[in-house]
Amino acid sequence: MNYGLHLLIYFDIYAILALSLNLIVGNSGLFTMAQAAYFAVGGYTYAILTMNFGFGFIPAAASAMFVGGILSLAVSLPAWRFRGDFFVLITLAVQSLLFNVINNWSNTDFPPGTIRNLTNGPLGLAGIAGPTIWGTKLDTMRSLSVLSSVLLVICCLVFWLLQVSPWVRLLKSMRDDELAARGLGKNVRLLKIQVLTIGCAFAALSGAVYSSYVTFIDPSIATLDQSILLLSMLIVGGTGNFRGPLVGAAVLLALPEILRLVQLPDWMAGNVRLLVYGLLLIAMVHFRPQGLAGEYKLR
Amino acid sequence: METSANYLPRYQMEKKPISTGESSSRVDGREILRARAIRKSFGGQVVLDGASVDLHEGEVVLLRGDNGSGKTTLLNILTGNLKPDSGTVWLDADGTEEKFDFPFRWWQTINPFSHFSPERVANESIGRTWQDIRTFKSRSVLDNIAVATPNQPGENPLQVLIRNGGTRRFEKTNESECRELLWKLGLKEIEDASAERVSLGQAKRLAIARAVRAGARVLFLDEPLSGLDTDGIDEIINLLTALVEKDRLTLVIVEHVFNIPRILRVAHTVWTLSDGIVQSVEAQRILEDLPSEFDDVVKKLLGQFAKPECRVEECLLHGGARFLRITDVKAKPDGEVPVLDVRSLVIRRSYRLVIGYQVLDGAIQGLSFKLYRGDVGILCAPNGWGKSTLLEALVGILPSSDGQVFLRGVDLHQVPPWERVRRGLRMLTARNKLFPTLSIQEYLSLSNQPSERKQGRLSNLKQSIGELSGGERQQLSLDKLSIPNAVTLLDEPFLGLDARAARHASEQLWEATNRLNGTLLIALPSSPD
Repeated sequence: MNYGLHLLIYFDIYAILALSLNLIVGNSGLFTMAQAAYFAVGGYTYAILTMNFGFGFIPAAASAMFVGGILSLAVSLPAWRFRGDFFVLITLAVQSLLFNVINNWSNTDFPPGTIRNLTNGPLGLAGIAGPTIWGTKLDTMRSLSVLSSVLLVICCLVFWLLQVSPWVRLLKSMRDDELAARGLGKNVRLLKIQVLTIGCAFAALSGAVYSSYVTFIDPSIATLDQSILLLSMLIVGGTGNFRGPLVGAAVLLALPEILRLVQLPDWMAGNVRLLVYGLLLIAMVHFRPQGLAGEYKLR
Repeated sequence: METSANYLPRYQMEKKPISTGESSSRVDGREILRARAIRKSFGGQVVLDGASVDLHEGEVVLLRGDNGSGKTTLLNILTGNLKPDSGTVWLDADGTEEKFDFPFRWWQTINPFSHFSPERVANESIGRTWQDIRTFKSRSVLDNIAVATPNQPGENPLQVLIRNGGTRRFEKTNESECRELLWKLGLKEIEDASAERVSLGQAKRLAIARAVRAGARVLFLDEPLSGLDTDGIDEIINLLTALVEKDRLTLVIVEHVFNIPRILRVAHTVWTLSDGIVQSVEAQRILEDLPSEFDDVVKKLLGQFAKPECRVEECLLHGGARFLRITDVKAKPDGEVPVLDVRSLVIRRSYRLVIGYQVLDGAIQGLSFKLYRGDVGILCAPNGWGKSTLLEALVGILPSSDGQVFLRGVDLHQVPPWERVRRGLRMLTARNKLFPTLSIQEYLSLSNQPSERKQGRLSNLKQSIGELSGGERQQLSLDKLSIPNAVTLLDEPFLGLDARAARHASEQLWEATNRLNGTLLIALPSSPD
């Protein structure tokens, strides 16, 4: 029972993350590889605010979204000038920068979470408080899974409203031809800031849910591998629409669990998992480039 | 007027020219755009050297000039896509005057809200279209128009989430207005189709409508008629006429030799670009000395081949296309193997049948033709018929689904494109498919051509192809005709050439078949005769 709830919570977290990444990559064509860093930013913001300032879940998660949204300027301002491959390189740089800040902002002479030892470096922050909403502490698996599922539903509603809006229509037009969109008098700079702010803020929200559930956070969730895993979810599930990221998150989370059922020896399991990921990606790109549930017309 | 009648057989019967007596002289509308002493050079090559223009409300201007004279550059500058090296631009299309002095001061160049940009100029009610159309390809035709509407509340993500009544009402009216607009343009039945799949003529109308929907009062059109067949041209001209007469739009049209007579019917003023400056003349005067200046090069070309010893065979193909074979009767020994022999070729792209047609009992009839040494095959087909697809399938870039192609009696089935080229079957790449980052020198050695005989701007071998104008690229591509004994496929070889270059091109074609023993297959958009 708990195992199922655990999987459900993980699915909720990664589905929000994949949806947020899809908003950026699928609609505006800005191929960002820094999404895991914003996920971690949200997680750390939540951890520090709850540990040191006694914030409840709602204000802490809202602050995490705010910080993620502000830091997204590191990606969106370069996007004014850099397109395509160069934008990917910029996001790699931002990813690496944020990871290194998280990994190195530590000084063991001070308690974790203070300004001198903000992230406690590679040791990570342990003992993060579980979510508290209006004074009620959610500490059972069941209540946690309800919280994360409710959040996923809210996020789905938000992303669905955005997905059918003129705003996303404009984003997709910009993706197709930026110069033509500018020729129609559209402010593409503002558009890039908007989409990256929203996308990164929701990634940070998902990070806040993660750290409230796991109650421990360390820099390993901010690595490039995580960003690539997220992009793989989009490639497998499909981009540019609403179902794709949900399907992708479900498939890529189910995969290691299925491999666990096969009961491979430990030394083999990790390698086999990577191998299967690789084969899956190659097969997807070759046979169904639009993803399992992607927008058919896209390519 | 009379003298140009033979160029416009159909159009003239349907439509009266709108330049009537009083308006054919200069339009007396408010001055809405003024540019003074515009200079621009690319890598030391001066393109514009102090060009000055005035544009009045309701005026229709034809901008013309030789290949590489800077037509597109001037258009890019006036629409904010390019900053001139020096000069001044005044814009006053929406009642508030804006002045831009170039070169910018250093603090202006670091201004993130850069004040001379396409979106800024577009918000001054100045719109444009592009040579390569630039529709939003993954979107539907309806979305392409609907996205252009200015000041949509739904373009603010917060408004979307609040989802108040005003936003939704705006979306509804926007959509119904756009549907109405598409209906007026005759694009009703394709409104839900992806913009990628519509024909060239439809895409061009769509691009114009999109700019108008974005609120343009002044419209810069870059080659709106190029590549279109007669019907497509008529549709665009009718649309432009309606925009000028009903909506009092101001137009500046860049066009090439072949289509200039058609544009002159609607134009008031002609801007001629040469040596980097603009001369402005009334359209009436140009119209009078038109015939001496514009030879109908295609007809002349056909006349050149139609010598007494040549025979012209014509056959009608499906979808309103015609195939002409011009062959030299004398030079042919009996039993000669055709150089290019196409037998019941069928080509599909995804599920759509492009070449070939379904006969009554459901069987599919393919395309067949033969060309012998020294022959010229001319394929005249309307836009969207699949000319380019056919040529690409013949050289092996696209797969064909059925049928056979023989080159000098050898079946080309499964022969890769590079091998076909080695055996002497080549396609002259269209101007937009040359390699933009290569220099001319590199391009010539890549295609095994001597580099001595280049003239004009093309003689600067270090220049990269991306810096050449559309017409110059076409010229460069055509120079590949000088290789002997080849079968050459040409896709609209005259697209974008000025009169002189087109004459030169037709001489090259003549030489390729008669002196160099080549065989040509030329694809052209269908014209009235």
